[in-house]
Amino acid sequence: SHHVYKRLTQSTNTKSPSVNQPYRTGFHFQPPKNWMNDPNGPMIYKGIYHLFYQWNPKGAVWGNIVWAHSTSTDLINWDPHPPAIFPSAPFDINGCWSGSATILPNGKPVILYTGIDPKNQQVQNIAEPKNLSDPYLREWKKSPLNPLMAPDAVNGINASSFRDPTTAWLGQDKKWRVIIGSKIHRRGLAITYTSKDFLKWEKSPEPLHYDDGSGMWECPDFFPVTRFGSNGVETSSFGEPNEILKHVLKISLDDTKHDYYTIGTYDRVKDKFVPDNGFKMDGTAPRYDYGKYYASKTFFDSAKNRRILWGWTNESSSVEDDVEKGWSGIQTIPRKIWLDRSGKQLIQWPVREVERLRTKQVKNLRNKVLKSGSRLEVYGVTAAQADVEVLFKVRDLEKADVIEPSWTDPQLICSKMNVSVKSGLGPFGLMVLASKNLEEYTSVYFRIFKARQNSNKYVVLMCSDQSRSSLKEDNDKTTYGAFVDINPHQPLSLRALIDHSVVESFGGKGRACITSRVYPKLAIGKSSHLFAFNYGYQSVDVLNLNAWSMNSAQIS
Amino acid sequence: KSNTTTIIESTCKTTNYYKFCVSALKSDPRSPTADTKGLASIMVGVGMTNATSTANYIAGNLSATVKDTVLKKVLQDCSEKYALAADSLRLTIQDLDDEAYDYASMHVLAAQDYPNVCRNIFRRVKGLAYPVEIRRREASLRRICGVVSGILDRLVE
Repeated sequence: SHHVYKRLTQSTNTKSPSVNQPYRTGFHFQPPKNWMNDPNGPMIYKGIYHLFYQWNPKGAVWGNIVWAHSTSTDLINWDPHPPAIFPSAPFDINGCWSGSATILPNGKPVILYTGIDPKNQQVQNIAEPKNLSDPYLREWKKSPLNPLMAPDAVNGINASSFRDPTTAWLGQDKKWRVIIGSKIHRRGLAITYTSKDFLKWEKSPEPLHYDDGSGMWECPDFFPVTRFGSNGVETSSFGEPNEILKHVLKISLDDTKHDYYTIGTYDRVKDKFVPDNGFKMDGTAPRYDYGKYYASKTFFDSAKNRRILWGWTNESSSVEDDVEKGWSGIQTIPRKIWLDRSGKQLIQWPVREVERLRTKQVKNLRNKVLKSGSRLEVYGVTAAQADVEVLFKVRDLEKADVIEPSWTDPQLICSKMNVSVKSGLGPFGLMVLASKNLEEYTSVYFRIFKARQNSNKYVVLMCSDQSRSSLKEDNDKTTYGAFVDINPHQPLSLRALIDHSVVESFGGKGRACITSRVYPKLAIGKSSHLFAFNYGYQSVDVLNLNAWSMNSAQIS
Repeated sequence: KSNTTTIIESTCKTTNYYKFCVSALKSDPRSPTADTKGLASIMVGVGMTNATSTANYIAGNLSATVKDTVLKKVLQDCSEKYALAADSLRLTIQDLDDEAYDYASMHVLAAQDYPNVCRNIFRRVKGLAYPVEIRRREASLRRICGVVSGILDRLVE
C-alpha cells in the first residue's frame, strides 16, 4: 500500500479551485473539481443509472486515474459516491483505465476495465459489486483471477496498445464475446476474446475488424440497432422474429482524437463485422460529433428501451487556465442514439429528461422573415444557460451558389468561409454566448449549396465558428463543420444547448452534431446574449423559434 | 506541556478548525497514546458517530414530526445519505490502516459530498425548505471532514 501512496502523490496540482467560475456548467455532468476524461461503464441497475468516469483525485490535469462514480434516477441530476475502482493490486497498480459494464443474464453487473501493471503493460481485469443489494453499487471487488487478458509472446499483442474493453455480448454458442482496442504498427484493430464463464477468456485468432493505416483504436463500442424505429436493442440481441438488426462499430482514433462509426452487418458465425457499402472504418467514416467529442460509449437503457450515448468533451483552454479554474472536462448531455430510416446514418438527440430543466419559454419569433444582413435578438432568456430550437425555411433554393467540386471537407469550408462571407443562401443561424455589441460570439449556422449547376440536388453545410468566441487569445478556437443529410425543401431545424462554456448543436433533428467549448470574457452570465441572424444574400424565414432558460441540474 | 498535548496541537495546526480539532481529540481517551495516523483515525471516528447520529435523527425525531408524505420520503432519502457518509468514513479508516492516505482523502471527500446530496434532494422538490437543524448538522459534519482532510495532508507530506 505504501507503493500506492507514493504513486498517487506524484501530484500535479493541489491548488484549490478559483472562486470566480464563469465557465462551470449548469446542467452538464462534471465533478466538483479536478480532471475528468472518458465515461466508463454506463448502465442501469435496479432503476438507477450509473456513470463511472476517469478522474484524477489530485489535480486538474491527467494523472492518478481512478474510476469515480455517480448515480442518478433521471440522467440529469447526479449524486456522487466514493470512487469505485482504484489501483490496489499488481494487475492495476499503475492505473485503472477505461472499460465497460455488462449485465449478466442473472441480472448481476460486472465491469471489465484496463489495468496498468508494474511493467506498464496494459491488461484486462474484472470487478464485481461487493453487495448486490446496495442499489448504488458503491463498493467493487476485483477477482483474484485478474488479469483475465494479458499480452504475451504467444498472442503477440502490443502491450502498450491493448485497452478499453467493450460491453460483452452473448453469441449463439452461449459464449461471451468482448472486443478490446489495439494496434499493430499502423493497423488499428478490435481484438476479440471469447469466454464461457466471463472469467477464462480466449483470444480469437481473427479480430472483429481492423484497418491498415488508421493507428490505435481506442474505446471501441459495438452494438446492434434496429433497422426501423428509434427504440434501442439489448447488446446481445439477435433481434425479434421479422426484426432486422444492423450493427454499429465505433472507434476513437488516437491519431485524430475523434469518434467515428460505421454501419454494417455482424457475421455471427465468423465473428466478423462487415461494413456496408460506402463505409470504411477509418478517418473517412462519419463522426458522432464534428466538434470536440471523444471516448464515447453507449449502453442499453432497459427501463426506457433506448440506447444512450455518453461522450467526453475536453477543454479548449490552456492547461494553465484549467489549473487556475481547478477542473477540466465535461460529459455531454446523454443522447438517445438510433438508426435513421435511410439506414445510412445514426441520429442523436439529447435525452428527453433534459427538457425538465426548461423553465420560462420565449416565443418571440414566429413566421418572421430574416432579411439579408439582419440580426434579431432573442430577449427574455438566460442566454448563458439555455435550450434553443429554431426552424428555418428557405424559399429561393435556386439562388444557392454551386459548391466547388474540390470542397469535400466541411470543416475546411467552414473555416475558409467564415461567418462574414456572404453566399446566396447563408450563413443563417444562431449567435450564442454573444456580448451585447458582438465583440464576442459563437456562431452556429447553415449554408446551402447546389450540388452542381442546373442541379436540383443540394448540399447543406452546418458550421460552428468559435473564432470570435473570446477576446482571450490562447484558447483553441478551431472552426468545426459538418454536412447535414437533409433536403432543404423541408424546414431546417437547429437546436443548441448552451451552458456557459459549452455549446452542443444539433442540425437537421440530430443528423449532424457539433459540440464546442468557448470561454468568453464579456459574454458571461447576465451579459450573455442570443441572436438569430441571416448574413446571406437571400431572405430566410424563421417558422418558429423557441428558447428556454434552463434550470441548473443538481450535480454536486 | 505534555508530549501528548504537543502532538495534538501540532496535528491540529494543519487543519482549518484548530480549536475544535484540539478539543475533540483531547476528549478521546485514546489520544494520549496515538500518533498522527491514530489521531486521524480518532477524528474519522468522530465523523462516523456524527453522521450516524444525523442519519438517526432525520429518520427518527425529525421524520416523526411530519405528516406530509413527500417530505417524509425526502427525509428518508436524506437519512440514507448520512448513513452512506458514515460508510464512506468506514472506508477511510480501512485506508488509514493500510496507510493509503490518498485513498483516505478520496473517501473523506466522498463522505463530505453526501450531505450536499441531501441538500440537493430538498432543492429538487418545489416548496420544501431545508430544515435549519439539518443545515447545522451538515456544517458540523463538513467541519469534521475538513479537520480529517487537514490531518491527512500532514500525513501525505
